Amino acid sequence: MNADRCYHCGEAVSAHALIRATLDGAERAFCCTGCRAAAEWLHQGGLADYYTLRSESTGRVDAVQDFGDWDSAGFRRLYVHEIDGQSECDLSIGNIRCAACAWLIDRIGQQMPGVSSISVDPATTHARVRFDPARTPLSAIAARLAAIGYAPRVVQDPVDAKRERRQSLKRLVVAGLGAMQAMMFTEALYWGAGELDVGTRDFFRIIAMLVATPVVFYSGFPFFRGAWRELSLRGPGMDVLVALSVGLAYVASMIETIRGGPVVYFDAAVMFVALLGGARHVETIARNRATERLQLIAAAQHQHADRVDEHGHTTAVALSELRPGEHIRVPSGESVPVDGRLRSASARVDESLLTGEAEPVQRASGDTVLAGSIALDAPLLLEVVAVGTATRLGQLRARIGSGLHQQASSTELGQRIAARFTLAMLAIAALTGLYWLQTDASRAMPAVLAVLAAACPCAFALALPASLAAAHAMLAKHGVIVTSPEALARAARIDHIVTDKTGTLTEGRPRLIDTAVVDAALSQHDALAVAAALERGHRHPIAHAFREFDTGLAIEQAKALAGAGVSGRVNGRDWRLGRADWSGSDNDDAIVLSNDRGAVARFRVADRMRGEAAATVRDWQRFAQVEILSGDHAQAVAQVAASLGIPGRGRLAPEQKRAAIHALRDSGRHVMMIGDGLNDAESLAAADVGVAMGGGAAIAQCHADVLLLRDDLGLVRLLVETARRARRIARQNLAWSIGYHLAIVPFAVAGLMSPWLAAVGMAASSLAVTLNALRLRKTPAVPTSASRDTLREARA
Amino acid sequence: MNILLVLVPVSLLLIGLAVWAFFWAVDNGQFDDLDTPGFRALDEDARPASKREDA
Repeated sequence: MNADRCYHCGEAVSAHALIRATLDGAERAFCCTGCRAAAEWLHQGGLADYYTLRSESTGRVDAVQDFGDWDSAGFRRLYVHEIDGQSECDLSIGNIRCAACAWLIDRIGQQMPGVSSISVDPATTHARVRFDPARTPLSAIAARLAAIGYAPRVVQDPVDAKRERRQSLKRLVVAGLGAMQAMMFTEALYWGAGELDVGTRDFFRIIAMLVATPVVFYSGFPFFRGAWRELSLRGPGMDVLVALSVGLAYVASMIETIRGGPVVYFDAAVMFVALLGGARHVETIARNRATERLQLIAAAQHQHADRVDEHGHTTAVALSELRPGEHIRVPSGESVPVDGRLRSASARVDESLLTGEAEPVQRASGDTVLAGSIALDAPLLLEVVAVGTATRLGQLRARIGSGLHQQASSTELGQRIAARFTLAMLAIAALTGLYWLQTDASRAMPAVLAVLAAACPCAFALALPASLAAAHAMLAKHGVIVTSPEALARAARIDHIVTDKTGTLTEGRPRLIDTAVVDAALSQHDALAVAAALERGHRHPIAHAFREFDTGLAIEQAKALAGAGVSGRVNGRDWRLGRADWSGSDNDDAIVLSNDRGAVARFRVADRMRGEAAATVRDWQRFAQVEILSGDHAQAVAQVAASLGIPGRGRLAPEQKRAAIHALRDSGRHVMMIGDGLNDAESLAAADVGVAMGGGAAIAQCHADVLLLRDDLGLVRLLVETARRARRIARQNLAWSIGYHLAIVPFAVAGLMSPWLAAVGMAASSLAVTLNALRLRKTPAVPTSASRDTLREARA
Repeated sequence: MNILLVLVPVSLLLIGLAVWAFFWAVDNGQFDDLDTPGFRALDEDARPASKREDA
């Protein structure tokens, strides 16, 4: 484990961080007391194995959230189901990074009395909790998970694709086993063609038909269903050709069997189903898991609110039950679920998700507070003005949704090509049949089947999905989730990168960048410890900057004065920490710590640039132009842009960002947008490829094409590099399969090729294509932050 | 060749058994998560022993 990273969450900590603990004989550094507590708890509970098992770190343990309302009757009614005398609740657990997380959460469940299981699917972050509320309330389970750095959120009626996945796996296995059996029996027929007596031959044929039947009708069902849909939409595609080949081969073989004709083709029928079914299974599984995860994230967004009636009683109700004019309470630290008018005293809210502006905004009583903003220092009482789609957030979402539809065209193009190919091949097969019927009727059927088998674009069909599936799997292993196959194709063409600033290039959280101690009697260590004690428990973003220095000094009379700073009594002295003029110092933009003797120390706090940002941007510039579009202050943007040597524009509203991206695309550039906030969601959907940071807003993730599970900008390079390699391999595969078809179809038309030979050739061709695609699973040598650390050490 | 009349149905029966066993396994969730259970083998305590009440 790296010395300058938090042992628990892996976040960078400064060299003189004060929070340390000795675990299993080794001293570890932590970013905050929350992370230390989590690590200590895991070690005491015998769960320390987690640290050796995991491949990715969890999230940082933030200020403990209050889950008290999770036990209320209203909450239970909305989210908890009673099944077999037990309570069951579906959660989406944020910050799950790898399989070890699922293991850990499962073990935590076992250690809590009354919890019978917490089953987690690490790929989708879905967790189903079964528990006995009389012995352990849901709030305790949630609090336990939060204390280790996970972010549990309730989900109402999650989409469960498990049934579909199981069904697909069953079909695949039936196809595989059945195909092997059917081929074994028909193979015997080919080799023993001259020697078998009629009785044995017919026995073998009937057995082959017996094993081929479930393969064709059970495993092949999706193809027939797809063909029916394509026909009813008047757009014949792949499924029509597959269904036709399979159906024709099966029916013809059945007739031949009954009639006692010369050849049967059960093997060709089952091989189509098994090979194509396999390819399709692999490809859809990789993609479904990504979309399932996003659906879950979307479902876990605010669905309930605490309604306050005229007597001051609160009840949890679904958002759909809220009416304008009613009052709701929003606990501090939570996001506001509706557009509302503030009825409590003035308070500060964080609108960064909506506007991208990092500084909190002051809202007075009577002001409008928008859905999506976060209550910072006090609970808010709001009068509901608009709910759901009527909110500004809802309208924003609807606009983003309509932007998504504009991009569906590239898939349609692929389907049109497949449809033309299909029609051409059907025409060739029909002409072949007609020709042979007039010259030599007995050779018509084998020739038609050989054409269909040779023409069946198995390799052609596999060429793209196989390389996509391999690329998807490799990227997913590194924490890059690609939600649509077209996104990968578009990522290969990227030549312009537009990035947000806050949370993308910077850490999105203020950090201490400079400390100057004025009073010689006090060490830097002590000054930081006092400052950390003063800021403890406050939600202001600046308080975060001091958390890693907290040594647990006791504090009395802690007070906060909005817009000025915090004060309190530590070590028998009165202290103030805050704006220079308030804290008794000359006018200065630093944060000043003072006591009764005057200023003691000055701190400078800023949203620090990510360590890897400069190197990453230089890396990007090798294949693309890089530009910053941000909603933050123009000055802050200019500063970051200048230090990276790239152009940057600030103070942009979401609409302006989108317009800028549209302008770039209209000028012929292929634009990738990287962002994390709600204000980026629209531009993420508008760009050729939208990349959302995993730590960002749920809505940004839902409208991005690509999701980075780790906040590591180096992954963007990995994405583009992989997309390009996937494109290269897909092209090789296409060239091979088209060449193969062109070479083989004339022989089939001429009747020089038996159907089984055509089927074997098709299988070999498909295998070649698949193996070529599997080369993508190897990770390319692209620097990510982990590898860059070793690089830096090597250079030093 | 009459032995085939016995051996072939027997092989079909075995295939049927294999498919039935596989379906049973899929329905029991054996294939839902292929990543996490690998970690259980690395556990030192047996599962029931870890059921301690708040150490």
